[in-house]
Amino acid sequence: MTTAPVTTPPAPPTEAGPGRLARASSFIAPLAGLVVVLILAAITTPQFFSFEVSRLVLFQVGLIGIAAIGQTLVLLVGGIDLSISGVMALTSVVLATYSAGSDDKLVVGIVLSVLAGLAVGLVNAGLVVLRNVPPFVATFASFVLIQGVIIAWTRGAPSGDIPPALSWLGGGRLFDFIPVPLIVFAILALATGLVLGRTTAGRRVYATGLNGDAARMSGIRTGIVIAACYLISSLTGVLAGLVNASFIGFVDAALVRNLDLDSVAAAVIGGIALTGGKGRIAQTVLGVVLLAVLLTWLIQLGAGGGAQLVVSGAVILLAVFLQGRRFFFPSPTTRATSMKGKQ
Amino acid sequence: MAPTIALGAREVTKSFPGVRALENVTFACAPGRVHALLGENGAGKSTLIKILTGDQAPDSGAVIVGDEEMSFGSPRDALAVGVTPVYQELTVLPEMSVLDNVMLGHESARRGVLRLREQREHARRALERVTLGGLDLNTIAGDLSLANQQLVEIARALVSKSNVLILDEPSAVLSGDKLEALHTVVRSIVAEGTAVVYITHLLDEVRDLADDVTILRDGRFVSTGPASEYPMERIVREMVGRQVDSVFPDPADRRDEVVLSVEGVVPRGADCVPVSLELRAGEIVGLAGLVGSGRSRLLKTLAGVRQRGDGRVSVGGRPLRASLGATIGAGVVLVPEERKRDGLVLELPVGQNTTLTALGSISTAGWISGAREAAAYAEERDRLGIRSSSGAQLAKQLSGGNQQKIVIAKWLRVGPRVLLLDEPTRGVDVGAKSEIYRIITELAAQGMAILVASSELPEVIGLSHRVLVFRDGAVVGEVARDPESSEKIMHLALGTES
Repeated sequence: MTTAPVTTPPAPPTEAGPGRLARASSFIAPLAGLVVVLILAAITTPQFFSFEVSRLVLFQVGLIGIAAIGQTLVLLVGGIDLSISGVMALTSVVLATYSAGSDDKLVVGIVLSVLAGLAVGLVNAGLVVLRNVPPFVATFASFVLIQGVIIAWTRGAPSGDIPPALSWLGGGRLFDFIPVPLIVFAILALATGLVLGRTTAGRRVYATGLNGDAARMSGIRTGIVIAACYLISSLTGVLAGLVNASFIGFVDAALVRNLDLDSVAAAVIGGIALTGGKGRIAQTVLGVVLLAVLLTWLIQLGAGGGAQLVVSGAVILLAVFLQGRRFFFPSPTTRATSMKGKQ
Repeated sequence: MAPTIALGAREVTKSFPGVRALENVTFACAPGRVHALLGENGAGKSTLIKILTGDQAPDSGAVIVGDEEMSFGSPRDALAVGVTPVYQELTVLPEMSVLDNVMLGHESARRGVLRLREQREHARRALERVTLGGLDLNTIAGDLSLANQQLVEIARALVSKSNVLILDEPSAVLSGDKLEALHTVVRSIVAEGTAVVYITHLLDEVRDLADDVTILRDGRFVSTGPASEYPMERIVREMVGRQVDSVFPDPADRRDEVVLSVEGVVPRGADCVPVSLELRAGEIVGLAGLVGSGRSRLLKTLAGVRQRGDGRVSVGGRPLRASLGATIGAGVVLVPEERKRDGLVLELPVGQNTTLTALGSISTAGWISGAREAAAYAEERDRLGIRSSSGAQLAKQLSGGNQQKIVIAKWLRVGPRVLLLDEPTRGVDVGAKSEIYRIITELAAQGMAILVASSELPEVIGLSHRVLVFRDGAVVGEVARDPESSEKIMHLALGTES
């Protein structure tokens, strides 16, 4: 077999979309949403752009973002991880219970938290990959199970302090403005973006999410790819749990934010498809920023936790609705086949 | 008085972003006639059908039904005036029974109350016409073979008493006696005055069935007329716009070295006679047999996609473990029948599809080299004659023939020793077909051992050194390369020869 000389300019290898235009257009809707919310915030709550509130927004971006990275990976292989909040709660309870606020036991406590998180990830992956349990059911069951374990273990009243030596992770700031969680998120996002866009591992993730059958028949071990995504998602859950716990400084299970919903919402409004295989980390980042701004604005308006949940839910529904209608970039071929199917 | 045009289109133009799908196309199908709509993939047949059935609106021009110009808002409007399509993509509801599927859309016609007995009778009569009279009405449709699902769909169209029936390439799924049965049905409804628009890639069907012919090419109308004025050569010439070498290239001499040796293999869960065969370097062996005779199942088992129940396979003398990874590693690869489902990641660019099987060869420590990926695609593009705008074009945007070449290309990246092809030219237009034949012959000449399963007899016979005939999962005979052997193969496949 002969190698023919290469005559065409090399195509960008990482591009999953049809072109730069479509790529840019996928950012338009979330960007427009961000601008609208920022304008509304400026009008209704002028203090929104103050030093303290901006700092709060950046912290939210970091916290939601860390969880959203893992969630994005799981969404890309066609799954969903609803156990992230559970892993976060488990992390803080394990750390607080083991260390009892003592800095000496911090490292071992973190290792135990990571092991606990990995165990949850393994259960999720096992159920989804080996037993074909729908991801929604598998991860939600894990979440309920974890909650139950925590309640049984702590007799319903988790308590304890987080070692102060960790407080820099949640409460630290660079130049007194940039929260450490934001930096952690930025590093994670960059690394994940590179892995997804430029490596064989990323290619396997996209192929598995877009067409698992074809990927498997091409020799890709799709089970391992999917399992890896759930494990990473659990690990980002542990990280988010450490950030949250060290920020608060003590365990209060009731205080653990519902990051399952927030991370899904952030990814989906950024444009990650719930059907798998479509979207890039940059879109998740944009979605995270939009959601963090939106939620912080609501807090500034004086809305309670209920209203925040309502907004997260509504945002998911709206984004999925828009994706389903192919609102962003209608393509004749996909539309034609989908209509054919309805015949 | 009967209209002169049962279903037609006048100067229809339709554009999609960047593509002129149809330009000024005029088409007229008369009542009581079978009108064959011909053209290569991408010629605009599907778009025309979608406009005729109200699925899409034309940019300009009009649809004509019963001599009157219509403007359809949705497929329902077209159904209401008796235009019934049977699409190539099956629309059978797999969870529902055969009865419900056949009567779908006609249940409520009786004052909102289902009259079960009457329904069953209607369904039974329609099924009998498509040779499925013996089928239990309560069978779940998803359990039927693809061919039978297609027939159920046609039965559904019969129930709806349409003036025009549009059949979109039924021969892609049906073969042998099932296809023959469909032809009988078509002849009988045409005799009752129904017009039939028939799309096919099998030119034999045109000769057997069509009264009129319309040919499209590149979205433009080429010619129309009674079928008698269209000998094969003219059809092919006008479809591709160039002379096609329709003769199969002669396969090169096979070598002595046995590459693939199969002893007593039984697919897991299959109840059939064990299969044994040997494949030598440079040899092309055809697998013939009716749909459901076990060809695809055997290929999938040999490729490690399906589990092996029993038996031994060895490649180049070395025993092969029955796992997908080991099989690909040993250089035994499958170009699957369901190209879009099993062969391609349609939403990924063609370049990425090409390298999907050999990511290691375009990367260093997991880091993909864009230049190496582009070079890999360019090499296959030139070797196989793939036509795409660039390596970044999405696989779903290519025609069937080019998609098939991408699937072949991605397997060539692993340097296979044994190439298994399942229906390699299904849904592929005439021009691309002969190119795929050339590719297969050349690969064999380079020493690859090739196993080709196909429902098209001229194809298996023309390509192969020898043909193995399948029936009920077992090899029932072997026929040498000889154009006269098709009858013998059919007899073996049907079991009509003692």
